[in-house]
Amino acid sequence: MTREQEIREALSACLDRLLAGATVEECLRLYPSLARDLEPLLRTASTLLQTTASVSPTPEVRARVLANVLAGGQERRPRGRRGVLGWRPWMLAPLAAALLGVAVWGVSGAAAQSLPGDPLYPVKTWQERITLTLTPSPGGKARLAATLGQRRAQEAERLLARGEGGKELEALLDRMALHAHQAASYWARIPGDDPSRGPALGPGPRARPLPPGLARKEAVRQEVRRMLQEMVASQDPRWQEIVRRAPPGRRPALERAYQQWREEVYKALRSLE
Amino acid sequence: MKGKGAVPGLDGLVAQAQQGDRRAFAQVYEHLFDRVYRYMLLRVGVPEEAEDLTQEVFVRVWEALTRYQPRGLPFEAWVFRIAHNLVVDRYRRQGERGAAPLDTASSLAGSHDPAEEASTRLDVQRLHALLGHLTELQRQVVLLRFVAGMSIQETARALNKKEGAVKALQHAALENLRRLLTGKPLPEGKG
Repeated sequence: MTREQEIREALSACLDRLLAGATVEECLRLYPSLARDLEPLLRTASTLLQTTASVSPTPEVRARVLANVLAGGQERRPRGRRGVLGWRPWMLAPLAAALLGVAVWGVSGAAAQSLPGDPLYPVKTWQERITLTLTPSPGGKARLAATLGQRRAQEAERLLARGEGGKELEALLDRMALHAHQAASYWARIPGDDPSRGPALGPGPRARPLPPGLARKEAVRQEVRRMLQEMVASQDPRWQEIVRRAPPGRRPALERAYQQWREEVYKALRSLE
Repeated sequence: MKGKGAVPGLDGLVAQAQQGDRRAFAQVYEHLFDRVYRYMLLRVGVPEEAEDLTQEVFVRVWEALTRYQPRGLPFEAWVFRIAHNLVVDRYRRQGERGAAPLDTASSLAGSHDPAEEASTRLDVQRLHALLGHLTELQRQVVLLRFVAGMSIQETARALNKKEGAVKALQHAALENLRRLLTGKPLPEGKG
């Protein structure tokens, strides 16, 4: 083995140790005859590791990206100057409003009435995703996500009334969990949060009128929270019963989806407290 | 040695996520998010763009998860290969190399005093610019080893290279970074 190869092997072994938390000095002690060559390289590597470790995205970024990923990557990070397709948010507002109307108060024709498993159902969910993407404000997105969660619950009721619902029920529970998560995540993105104020709308002598940003955020919080609470009140006993009556072969998967939905919706409610 | 990402339970979580378990996927995401984000930030240098690209990586992972074969690439190497391909696509579309011009090397260099070398502090922007002076393969090795935390073996598999070649690239990359940090020019044909 040439000296250069020796250095490469030792460097590699030392870097593994650095990555595992060892210090440069500890590594050098293992290779005294190569220490002079290794030291500057290991110091460079150590600097590099310290720099990269200092990068830590905020919890908000982490939560926002996850919500978007689970929603199929349709909803992108809000951009300061430019929105979807490079349009400014105000340009998108009329289109979003029109689509919102279409999506929330009745998708055109048969697609609106379709249920999971129907040929037109993908059209309906596609329209919903587009609407969610184009809705410009986080508050609007939060309300829409909560509305979509309610819609999934209604679809499950209709499937059951038709005597159907195998894997579709699990998929609907998964979507309900996702919409609960989205509603809370979008709410958290509404600007105007100021932790130094203490609890919003808190009683007592310190309570004072909320600035407009906080008031909007509070209004959305109350509305989304109410929608989620109503959903839990109506759906939780219903799904318990559905899981209990499911054929034994289907019960574990349904139970898992049900528990996952409950966790997500309660987590969302806690974050909206 | 296994990469620092190879934690017990990750394979199980990946298997659950492949069955559509969102909670398991969220745990996989938590486990990898920081490293993917750092990787992207050091590739593109702009936090907002790094966030978008990180999101795109996980969207692709989520969409392709059912096709992932545990007997092929290790999961983390598979994820970072997706990340790498995404960056390559992005540069191809934009027709840019993503590197700082070479004539800015001296302005990016740190102290010329070897005594201060040990305490040289880098910020991410500067590190991004320094990495731009390495060859694409050297940069890949640095990012996979020091940002993704992958072992030599995993890095070699992710890059489809022999382990010896990865060790040589790693050595050359660190030597070049050391020179750049101390304000020395890179030898001809080494950058």
